[in-house]
Amino acid sequence: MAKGTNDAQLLVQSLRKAYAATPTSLKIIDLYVVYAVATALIQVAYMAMVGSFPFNSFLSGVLSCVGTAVLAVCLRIQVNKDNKEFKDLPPERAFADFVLCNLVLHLVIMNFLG
Amino acid sequence: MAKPLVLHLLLLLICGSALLSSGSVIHPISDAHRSAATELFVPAADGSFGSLEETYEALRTFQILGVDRSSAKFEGTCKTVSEKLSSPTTTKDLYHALKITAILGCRTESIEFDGITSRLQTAVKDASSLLELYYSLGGLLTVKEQGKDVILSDADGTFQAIKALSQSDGRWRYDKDSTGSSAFAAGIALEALASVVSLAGSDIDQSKIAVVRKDITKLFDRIKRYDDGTLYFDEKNVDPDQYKGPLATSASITSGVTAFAAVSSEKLNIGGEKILGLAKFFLSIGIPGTAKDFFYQINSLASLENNRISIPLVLSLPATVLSLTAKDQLKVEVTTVFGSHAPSLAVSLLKVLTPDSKEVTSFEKKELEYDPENRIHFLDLSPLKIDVGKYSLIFKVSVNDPEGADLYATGDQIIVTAFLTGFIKVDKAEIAVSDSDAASESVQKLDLSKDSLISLSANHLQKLRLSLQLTTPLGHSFKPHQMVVKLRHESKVEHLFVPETSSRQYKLVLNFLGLVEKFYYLSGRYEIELAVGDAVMENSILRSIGSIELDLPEAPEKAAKPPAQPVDPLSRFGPKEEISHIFRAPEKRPPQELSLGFMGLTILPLLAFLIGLLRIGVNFKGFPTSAVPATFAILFHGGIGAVLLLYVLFWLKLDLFTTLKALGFLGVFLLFVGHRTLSYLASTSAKQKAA
Repeated sequence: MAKGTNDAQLLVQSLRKAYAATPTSLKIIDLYVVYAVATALIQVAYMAMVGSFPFNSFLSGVLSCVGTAVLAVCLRIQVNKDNKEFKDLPPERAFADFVLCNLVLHLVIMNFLG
Repeated sequence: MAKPLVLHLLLLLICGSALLSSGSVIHPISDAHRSAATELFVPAADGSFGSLEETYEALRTFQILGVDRSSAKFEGTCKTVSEKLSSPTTTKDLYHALKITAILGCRTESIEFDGITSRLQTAVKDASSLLELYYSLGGLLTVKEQGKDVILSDADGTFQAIKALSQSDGRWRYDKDSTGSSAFAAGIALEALASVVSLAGSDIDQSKIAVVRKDITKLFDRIKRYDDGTLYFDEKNVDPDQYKGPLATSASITSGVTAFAAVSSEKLNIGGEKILGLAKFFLSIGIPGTAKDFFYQINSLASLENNRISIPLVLSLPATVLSLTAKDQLKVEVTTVFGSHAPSLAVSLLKVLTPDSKEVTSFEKKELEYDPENRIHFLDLSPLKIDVGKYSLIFKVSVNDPEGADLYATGDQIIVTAFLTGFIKVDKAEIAVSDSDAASESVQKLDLSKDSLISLSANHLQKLRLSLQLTTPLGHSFKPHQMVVKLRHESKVEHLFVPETSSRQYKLVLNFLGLVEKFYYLSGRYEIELAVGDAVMENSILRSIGSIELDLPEAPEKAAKPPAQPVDPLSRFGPKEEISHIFRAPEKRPPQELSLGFMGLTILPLLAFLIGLLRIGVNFKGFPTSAVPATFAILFHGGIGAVLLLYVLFWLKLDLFTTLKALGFLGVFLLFVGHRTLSYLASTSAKQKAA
């Protein structure tokens, strides 16, 4: 039994060490994703408490968080130097895509917000 | 011995059956006619009534009826007419103009009568048609009546000329060439002949006048008759445009015959009965609707009023409904057609007939008494002991002066319908509810003179009986026109029943067992209403006598539903009840504090994000330092911020189109600036990598 917890602790520690090696830019993106998802969770919890009226507002709020999180994940994939697939894509280009997509997403979200 | 008696009886029967029919109500000309005349004949502003002929007709009617003709309007008429007389006009216009002058009493100094006379005399000589002769001769006669000296040159020839147009059946043609003849033309011809005789004086051969008298007799053979003795002339076999109608034809013949009778030395062989029949015809029109008809009626009656054959006398009743309760007297007026004074007469009531033509045997011939003050013949009805009802009264009028009997036409038997009304007593009125086996009865007396209401109750196994007796003032049993008992339910469903009559009593028996279906199984309170009515009943009954609580069994499923009651029109078409809108209840919203709390909670992850960024070690080292790229970088971030601000404004108050427009501009700007910034950063990092 003690070995199990020990193993878990060892696992977590090794993950932490590996994560510390990731570049800062990627860490920023990860933090952004965590932030977006946390906001979404808070909104869902609120809806669970007070009911889904008005439903469109709830949807737009949650989807904006989820959408931006998804775009951030895409950005991370594209910017990651270890990713062989996107070797030739300049990170600035990826970032420009990220900004553009976010702007379009937020336009739609604002329209749907009501 | 028996033969003359039988013949006498036969004649009596024939006369009786010919005369025994209801007569129309005839009244002499009265003030109602005068006011109708003033309403019908309305002069225009210049005093004329249309054409010269119409003006003449209006003024002649006014003259006969005694309507005031002295108004200032008619001075203008005088002037127009005198102008007409001096200018060349047709003979017809001359005739009418001269007549108008005579009626209005216009000043005749300015009128050149010699010229007019010569014109008319030429017209007489050259006349080719009956109407030309009529108008010119009439004009000459009017001039003569004004006091001027008029000579008719060839009176005999003129007489012959008119007579030549006559037919063998008493009618006349209009001129030599026309083939059709008419009775209307006969009237005109007779008047023209009368004018010739008046103008010529004693120049006319009396034998010729005798021939015309025969023609008149033949003409009167064509007279038509109504059942009540009214006589009139009508045309058959005439051209449609020549057809004048019975009133015009009878009027023309009446004027013609009376005019001729005035100039004929011997009396015309027309009975007084015919004159009376014609008078009745004109009077039975009542008040005519058109001006022409009015003129025809009044003009004819005026010629009959003072004719030389016999003067018609008209019997009329000022009131035909007489009340036994008020002890009304039977009043009768006998006057001339214009309502003027008749000579001394005896009026007797010969017979009183019931509607089915049976004689009231208790009545014997009675002579009416005369009231000289009001000029009315009257009779007291109470001693006669005649019961209530509708009766035909048969009168006979005879002139007291035996010489005068010839002068006046009174007719044989005059029939008038009258109503005798009275108070009908209601006796022995009872209402009772009994069981079906008639074992027990709860009888209640009804007193219909009081306002009391009775109240009963019954179930479907019982019977309702209502009975009463009606008695006339003289004690006979009375059968009213209408007796109905109505039962009305609370829901306004009504049922009507008619009581049966037997000997002296009216009885209604309602067996509720058989009526359950008819009543639609509706239990509850039924109001009982009784209606008894008749034309001669002064105290008709229409009232509620009480109510009955009916207990009927339940309706089976297939029973008929009671008919829908008529909806009160006011409720259907009147204002409806006000609709209060029920708005959708607003959704339950969470309390404000909770919402605000969660809003704050949403900000927390952002703060966590910023703190995390700091912990990671975010720096601005990559921010371009040299001027141009720096500005672009700043513009890039500023552009993104502007777009986000635009989104906030869009949420707050802008609409999509404005937003898209602004976004278009910002987007283009941002693209440009972003491209510059990012390409600069890319080139910088590439240089770093290379280096």
